[in-house]
Amino acid sequence: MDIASRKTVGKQQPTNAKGSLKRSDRRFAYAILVPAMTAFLIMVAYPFFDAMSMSFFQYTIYDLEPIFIGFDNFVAVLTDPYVLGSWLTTAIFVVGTTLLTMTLGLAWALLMYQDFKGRGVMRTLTLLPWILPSTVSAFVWAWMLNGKYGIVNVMLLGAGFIDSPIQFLSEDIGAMLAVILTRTWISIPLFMSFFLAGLQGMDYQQIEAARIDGAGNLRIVKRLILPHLKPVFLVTGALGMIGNLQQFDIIYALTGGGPVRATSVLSIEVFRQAFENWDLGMASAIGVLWVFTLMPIVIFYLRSLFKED
Amino acid sequence: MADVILKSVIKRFGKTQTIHGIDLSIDSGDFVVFVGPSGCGKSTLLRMIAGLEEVTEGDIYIDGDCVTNTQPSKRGIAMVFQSYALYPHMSVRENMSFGLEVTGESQSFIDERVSEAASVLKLDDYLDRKPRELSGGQRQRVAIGRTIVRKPKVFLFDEPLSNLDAELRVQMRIEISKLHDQLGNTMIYVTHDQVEAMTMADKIVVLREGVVEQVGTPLNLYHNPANKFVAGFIGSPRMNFLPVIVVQSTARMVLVQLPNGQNVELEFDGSEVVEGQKLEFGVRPEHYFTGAGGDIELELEVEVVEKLGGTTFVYGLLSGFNMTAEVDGDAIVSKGSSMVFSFDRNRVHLFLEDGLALSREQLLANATQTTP
Ligand SMILES: Nc1ncnc2c1ncn2[C@@H]1O[C@H](COP(=O)(O)OP(=O)(O)OP(=O)(O)O)[C@@H](O)[C@H]1O
Ligand SMILES: [Mg+2]
Repeated sequence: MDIASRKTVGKQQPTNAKGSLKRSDRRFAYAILVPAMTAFLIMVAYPFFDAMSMSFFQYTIYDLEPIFIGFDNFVAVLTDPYVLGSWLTTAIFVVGTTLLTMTLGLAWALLMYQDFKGRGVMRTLTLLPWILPSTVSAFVWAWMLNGKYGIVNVMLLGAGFIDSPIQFLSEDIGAMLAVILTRTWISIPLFMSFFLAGLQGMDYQQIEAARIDGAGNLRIVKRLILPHLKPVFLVTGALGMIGNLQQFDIIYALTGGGPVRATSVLSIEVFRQAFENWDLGMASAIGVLWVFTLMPIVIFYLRSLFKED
Repeated sequence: MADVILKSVIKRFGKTQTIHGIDLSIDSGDFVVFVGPSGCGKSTLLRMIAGLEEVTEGDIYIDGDCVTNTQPSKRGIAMVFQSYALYPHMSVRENMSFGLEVTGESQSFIDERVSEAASVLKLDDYLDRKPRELSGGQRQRVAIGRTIVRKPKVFLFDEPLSNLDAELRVQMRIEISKLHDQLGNTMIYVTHDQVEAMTMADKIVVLREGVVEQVGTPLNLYHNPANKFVAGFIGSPRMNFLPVIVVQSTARMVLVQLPNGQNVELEFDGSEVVEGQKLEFGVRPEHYFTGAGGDIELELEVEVVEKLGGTTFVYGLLSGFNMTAEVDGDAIVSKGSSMVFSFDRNRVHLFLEDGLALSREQLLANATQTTP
C-alpha cells in the first residue's frame, strides 16, 4: 500500500483535495487485488463449490450424467456404519497424534533449550524428519516397525517388555499406533520449533529468579514455562488438529487405511469413494461434512492468529 | 547479617577469561557497590555470588560457609534483576509469596511476611494486580518485595534502576538506601552509574576488565584514586587530564611543565620520578574557579558554555587539549573568548605513564579529615 500511495501521489496535482487522493488510492488497491481474486475464484472457490454441489447428485461410474438426489448422499453417509466408523477413526488419530506431538515437541524443545555442547548440531538434526519426503518417512517407519526384522520389536524384545514381536501393521491397534507414531515423528520438528521460539521469547531471568526462590525444574515448567507458552499451545494445537485431519499420504503409504478399515480416516474414505468406488457424489458428501468438521478449528486458529496480544 | 568473601575467583566462558582472580572481603551489613564500565564483569561477579554462574576457579564464602558449589536457593541470598524478572502470570502477592511457597511455609506465615513487605514498600493496594498493570517504579518495588519476604542474609542487585526515568531513579535510590538502613543486611549492588555508586555505597569496588582496580569509601576513591582509571571513572564530569613533563623533582616536590609551556610546582613524593619523565596531570572540573585566585592559573580558549542555572560547564582548550571546568552558575563566561581559570595546587593529581597515582602524604591527610 505504501508504494501504491506514493505512486498515485506522484501523479496527483499538488492542489488536489485529500478526499480524491484517498479515493484514487482505494481504486488502485482494488485494482491490484483483481488478479489475486481472479486466481482465487478460478483455482479455489470454483472447484470447492463445484465439489460441494456434487454432493447433491448421484454420480457413479454407472451414471452417464449426474442425477440430482437432494440430501440422499448425506443421509447415506450419516447412516453408513463404515463412514461413521471412519469419523471415530479420524478422531482417534487426530487427538492421539496431536496430543503426542505436542507433548513430545514440548519435551524436545525443553531439552534443546538447555545449554549443552553440540546443541546447534542437535537442533539441526531435529529438523531432519521435516525435510524428508513423507512417503520416505513412511517406508522408514514401516521397516522399523516390521514384525520380523524391525528395530522397534528388537528393542522391545531385548528390553523384555514383550515376549513375541508385535505385528504392528497387521493388527488394528498396532496399525493405528504405527500411523500415529510416524505422523508424530514427522511433526515433531515443526512443533519443537514453535515451542522453542516461544521459550526463547521468555525472559530467562524469570527462570533464574525462580531458581533463587528455590523452585525445581517441575515447578518452573508448571508455574512459569507452561503459562508463558499458553498462546503457543493454542496455535500449535489448532494447527496440529487441522494438519492431522487432512492427513493422507503417510496413512496411505503405511497401511492404505487397513488392516481392513482400522486406519481408514476421512481422507482415505473420500479417496476410496472417489477413486476406488467412483462414487463422486458420496465422496463429495463426505468431503463437505469433513470441511464442516474442520471449519470451527480453522476459525479458532485464524482468530487466535489475528487477535492482538 | 553476613559477610561475603571472594578468594582468587576466576571465571572463564569457554576459552575467554572474563574475571581474573578477584580477592574481595565484604563486611557484614555493608552496602557495597560494584562499579565499572560496560563489560568489565560486574554482572558476572554478582551472578557467581548468587550461584547463577559457575565459579571456574577460587572460592566464595557467605557468612563463613563456602558456597562455591551450593545451589542459589541454599546460599541465603536474594537478587533483584535488571529486567525485574517478575513472574508475569502471577499477581503481585503470588510473586512475593512464590519463594516461601516453594520452601513449604504455612499460609498464615506467608501472608504475614507478604503484608509486612507490602507495607514497607507501599504496595498494599496493588497486591492483586498483575505485573503488567504496574508502573516501572511499582514493578521495581515488587522485585524488591520478592527479595525481602525471604529475609536473606545478603541482597544482590544488578542494575535495578537502569530501566527507570531519571526522577524515579533518584527516588528509588533513596528508598533502597533507606531500606538498607532499616534492614541492616549486607547488600551488593551493581551499577555503571558512578552517581549511584557515590551516593549509596559504604564501599565501592571499581572493576575494569575483570580486575579490581580499587576498593574504598566513595570519598576515599574521589580524593585518592589509586590510578588514572579510577580517577577518570569516579566523579562527574570526568577528571581533566594533561600530559606533562618533569622538569625537576625531589622527595617533597615535583616541578612539571604543562603543554602550554607553563611550569607548576606540586607537592608530591618525587623520589621515584626523574627529569624529562612524562606524567599525566589531573584536575577535576569542579575544582576550577573563574579568573585568577587559585594557586595555578590557566588560560583556556572557551569553545562551548552550558549554563544549567546552578552551575556552568565550560568546555575549552589548552594548547589543543580538551578541558572541562564546572564553575559558578552566575560566572560570566563567553564562547569564543580566551579566559583565565585557576585551581589550588592540592587539587592536582599526578599519574605515572602506567596509570598509577603518585603518592602525596598531605592530600591523604586532608581527605581523611573531610571523610565523615
Ligand atoms: N554467558 C556468557 N558467555 C560468554 N561470555 C560472556 C557471558 N556472559 C558474559 N560474558 C562476557 O563477560 C564479560 C563481562 O560481562 P558482564 O555481563 O559481567 O559485564 P557487566 O560489567 O555486567 O557489563 P554491563 O554493565 O554492560 O552489564 C563481557 O565481556 C561479556 O561479553
Ligand atoms: Mg551487567
